Amino acid sequence: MKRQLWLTVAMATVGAGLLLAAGFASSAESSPQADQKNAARGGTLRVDQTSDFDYIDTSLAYFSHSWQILNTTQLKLMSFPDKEGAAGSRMRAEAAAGFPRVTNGGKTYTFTVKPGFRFSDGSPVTADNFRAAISRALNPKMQSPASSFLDDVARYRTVGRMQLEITLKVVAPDFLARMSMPFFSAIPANRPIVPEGVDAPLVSAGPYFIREWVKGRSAKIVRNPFWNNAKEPFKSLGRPANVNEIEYTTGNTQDAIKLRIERNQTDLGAIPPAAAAELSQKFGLNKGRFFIRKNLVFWYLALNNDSALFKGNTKLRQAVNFAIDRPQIVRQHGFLGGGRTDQILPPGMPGFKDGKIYPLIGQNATTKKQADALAQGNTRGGKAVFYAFTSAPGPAIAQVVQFNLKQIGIDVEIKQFTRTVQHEKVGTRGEPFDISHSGWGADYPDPYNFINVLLDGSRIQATNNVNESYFNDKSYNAKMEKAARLSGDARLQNYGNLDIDIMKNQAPLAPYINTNARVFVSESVGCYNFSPVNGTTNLVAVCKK
Amino acid sequence: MLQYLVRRLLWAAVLFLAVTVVTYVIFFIIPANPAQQAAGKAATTEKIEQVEKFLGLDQPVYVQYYRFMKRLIVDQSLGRSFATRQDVNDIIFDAAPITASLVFGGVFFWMLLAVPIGILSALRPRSLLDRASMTFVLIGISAHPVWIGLIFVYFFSFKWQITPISGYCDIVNGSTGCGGPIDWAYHMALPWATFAILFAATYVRMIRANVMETLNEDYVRTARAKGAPESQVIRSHVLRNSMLAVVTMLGMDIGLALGGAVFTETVYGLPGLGRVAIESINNFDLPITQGVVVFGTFSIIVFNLFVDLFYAWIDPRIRLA
Repeated sequence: MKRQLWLTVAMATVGAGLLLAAGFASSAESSPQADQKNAARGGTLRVDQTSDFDYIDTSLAYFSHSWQILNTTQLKLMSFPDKEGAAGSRMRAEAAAGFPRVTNGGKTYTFTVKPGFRFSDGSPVTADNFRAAISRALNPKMQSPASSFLDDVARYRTVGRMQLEITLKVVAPDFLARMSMPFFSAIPANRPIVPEGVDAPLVSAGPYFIREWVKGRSAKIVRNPFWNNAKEPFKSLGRPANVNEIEYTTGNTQDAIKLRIERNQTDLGAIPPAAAAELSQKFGLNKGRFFIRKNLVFWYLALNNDSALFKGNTKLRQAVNFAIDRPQIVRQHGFLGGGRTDQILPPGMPGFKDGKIYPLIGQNATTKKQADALAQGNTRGGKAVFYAFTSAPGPAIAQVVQFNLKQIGIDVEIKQFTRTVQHEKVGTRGEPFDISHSGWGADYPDPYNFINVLLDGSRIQATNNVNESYFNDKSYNAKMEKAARLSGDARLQNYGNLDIDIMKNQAPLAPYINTNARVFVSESVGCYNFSPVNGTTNLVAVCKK
Repeated sequence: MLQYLVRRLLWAAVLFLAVTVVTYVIFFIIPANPAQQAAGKAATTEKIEQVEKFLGLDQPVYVQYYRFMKRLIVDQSLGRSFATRQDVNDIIFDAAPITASLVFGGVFFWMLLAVPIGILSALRPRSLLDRASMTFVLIGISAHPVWIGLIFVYFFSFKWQITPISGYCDIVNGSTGCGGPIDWAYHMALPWATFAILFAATYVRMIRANVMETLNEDYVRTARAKGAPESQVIRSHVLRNSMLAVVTMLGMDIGLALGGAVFTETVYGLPGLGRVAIESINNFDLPITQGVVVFGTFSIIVFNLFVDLFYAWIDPRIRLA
């Protein structure tokens, strides 16, 4: 019996020993790099992400975090400065010598490429490299999502070595903004047509290039040796390119990322929304570790203008906008989740005007009276089907809305689906729903990408509709079409007014929040920069201490 | 024996077909079209139709299934991901060794815990050790692996900094700046422990019950009456007989452990099959989900077949049945 006990003790000791041995082997784990401290330039930026890039191929990548890496590594004709706030939303020429020459009644754009840019393999960037990007995106073998943004391109060609001429079928002043998407970055003219996308090392002409990508595991980005901020044409662009390398680690949970940042094992990454309160209390807000930045995103309740309840029932749609308790709904997005809104355009979007249309302060006697007055006699049986999504904050918001609408005499039946299924069902015309919970973020910062894309009824199709309100009013379709043809200040003025007009007089949806990005960085990050256009950290402008 | 083998192999083929058909059908019942996601959020109907054709989704379900089986049998290919167009074979074969590391390492640790505790509890029933081990069993059975994982990470990794918070290092060559057996074991220590607790609990109970039952057998009494030393009685008569059922269960549980791996891999950021499966389900990426299912089914079938054959070899009564 004694031997039996000894055997047990020995086995347990072996087990514990193995665990301890593993513990002592910890020296290889990424620890803060002492040599990088206090250095504004240089060092390695460590980024954690919960899921991998879809592609690193510019013709195919469409995830927001894929665009983050592409905005760090690619050179585009048009782009946005590496600045925060409104300054970062003003379009500027990047590889182009200036804004393009527009001729042919606004249909032909001629870009002149600045000489001096080089790919990471040393080859010079010419107009042909941008032509190749368009050509590759349009190649049917690539099945690129970028092709949807080129539907109105009639023809494109290079003129000489440094000029690219693109002719559109119709006037489309948002075309320049579209050209700022990573889809249309300079690529080597001989980049192969591979439907699965090209791999790393990926030759690119931005400040960095992707040297390594281990799918599902990691990626490494290093400096483009031919990018020199001391010389033109790089100097005038002012892209800081502070760190020497950027290392991505893929697959950690948000909880793990938060702990890793706290322990300085990584520098930044997505954190759980629930951690915002704790982090802001611990590190303060915008004081070096925990930041809040506004996204060009809004969330709303789509009111189905095709349904028996809301069709031709403007008063009830307005009543919903008065009845919903925006502070309570916004609270479901978590601490510092975003700012309340009653408009389609986010405040950071060019053209935005504050219309002060519906109550943002929550419900009180006055707002209840207004909501009741509008709903009176317009509830048409008083029943609504609400398509909600199952992930947070979907169920909680559905319950708040259910309670709010009960106050104006509408019984809401909540049906929950996973986000993808909900989106697909709601996008199919004829689906029997009255209200749907949706969100929209900009592909490119132009009001067209919100107003026309979401509400132009002439674009409604059988499936895959993003106009989830099925708003289709001929006069407003014409107004949107007219705004889309304008350019410059007139365009922005027009869109700003149209946003207010639609929400005030038609209320096809009930916007409630412009979300915030909640960013937590490690103690070794020296300076932080957020791209308002992409809604992600601008890695080119972040620096280490 | 040959007849038995043929019968088992035929059953394995039927099981394989059934599992792949069910996975396919489930995917087509869910009202989500991968082509819509691949085409982009504002794609036209024509564009979606193009993508459907490109992905082969324009064909009826049975045609798609036929093509899948043909590709699998003729080309040994699981196809390409809808979402990332990567070769599913590559994805599965990259992830499988990580899951294998977790499962086999976990098995080692859970047996390391379960065998001594189970035996001691059986030898000293109702003792303090027995009661303490039963408490451990209760916690292990009741607690979810995600919860156990989060608690472990918080204390062992974050507070005491004994183990890494998450991540994985290859046992041979490092692709993420770390690699080699020591780094590998260091990163796997907590996942193994989490995995071990999950299963060890059940095994402690089973070993305890089996040992207690065997201790009352006539041949044990006879061995003791013959004057055999207690250690020999335990080792040669009790353990040998009581472990037979444990080995059977272990064979089946290694296959089932894949389910537990999903949670453990997610908590610890291990890029194994569990995480691949979760991501593919979230993306409605049928080829990858189907790839994981095919691989999992194949592994379980092979493992069970091996256990059955092993049993048939050591116990002729099974062959006759």
